[in-house]
Amino acid sequence: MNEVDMEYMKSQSNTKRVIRTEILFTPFLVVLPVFIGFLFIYNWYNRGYVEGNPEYFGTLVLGIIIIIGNVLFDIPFIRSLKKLIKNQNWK
Amino acid sequence: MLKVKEKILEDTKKRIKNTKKKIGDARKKINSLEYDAHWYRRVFHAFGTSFLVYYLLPNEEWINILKFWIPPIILIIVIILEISRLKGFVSSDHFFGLRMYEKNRIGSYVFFALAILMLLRFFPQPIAVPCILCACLGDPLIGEIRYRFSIRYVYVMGFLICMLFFLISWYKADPFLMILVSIVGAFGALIGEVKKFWWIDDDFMIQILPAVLLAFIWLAILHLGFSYPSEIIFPALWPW
Repeated sequence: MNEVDMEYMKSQSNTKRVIRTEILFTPFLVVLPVFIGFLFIYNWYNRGYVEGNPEYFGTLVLGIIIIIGNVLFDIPFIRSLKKLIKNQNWK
Repeated sequence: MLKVKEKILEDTKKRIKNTKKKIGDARKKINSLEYDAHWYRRVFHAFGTSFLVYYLLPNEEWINILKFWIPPIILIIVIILEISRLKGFVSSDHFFGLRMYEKNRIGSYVFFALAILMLLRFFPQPIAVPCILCACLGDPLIGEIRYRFSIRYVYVMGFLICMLFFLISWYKADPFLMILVSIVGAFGALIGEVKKFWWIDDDFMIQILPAVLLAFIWLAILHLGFSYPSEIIFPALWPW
């Protein structure tokens, strides 16, 4: 990390402010895509599986991709956020 | 005299030790914040997959009005926010995950939002869906591969990941067309991601470059003797 980066990050208030922004957005960033992934699967179940329409198979695959893709990044993110809050003694 | 010198030396040693400790703590704090911002950027990218709900929303008049107005309104808000940040009305401190080089230039999230809006509005669904997936999931996955392994893996794995998204989105098309589109699309996405331009962000290029390449194929589909693939996402019906 160079001097400019150090200068940008050095103040404690700055650190607290950015973490606050992050925490504010976290539930939205984590929950919404997973919810939408389940909406895709729900749509496949209702109109594809129940009605026996194979056209909806793509919707199922996309739903699974959205959920797995998001959870894959959500877990290490939440873990690092918890660690950061602990390290910073942030309240 | 000697005692005074010894005392000064001892004090200096203590000060150096304290300074080293402070530097160590600061470095630890900065590194943990950098590590966290890294995952925040990844999650922010993956969050973009939520925009695919645009195609899932029921086909009703009032929803179509919302679908027409909400994406550009989001983009306008993002642009206003970015102008405010660049002009100094809003502090950059509120923009977590912003890269250092983005502090004095347009943030990548503006390019990201602009590209998604262009795809949703101007490109057919079979082109827009895989391009959005490439930016939202392919880009962070390529970033992780670059972060953990050598650059050689980036090209191979990045190409395969993007190709998978195009294969899934075009699985209803003729097999030859599906493979052609997947190769061209994955190639475009990889070039868009790997090739960096100072004036435009890779979040824009990874979406628009493959989309433009596929638009040419799309225009030539009938001339090549194929038929247009059907959509992969259909509007949902209300449960009631």
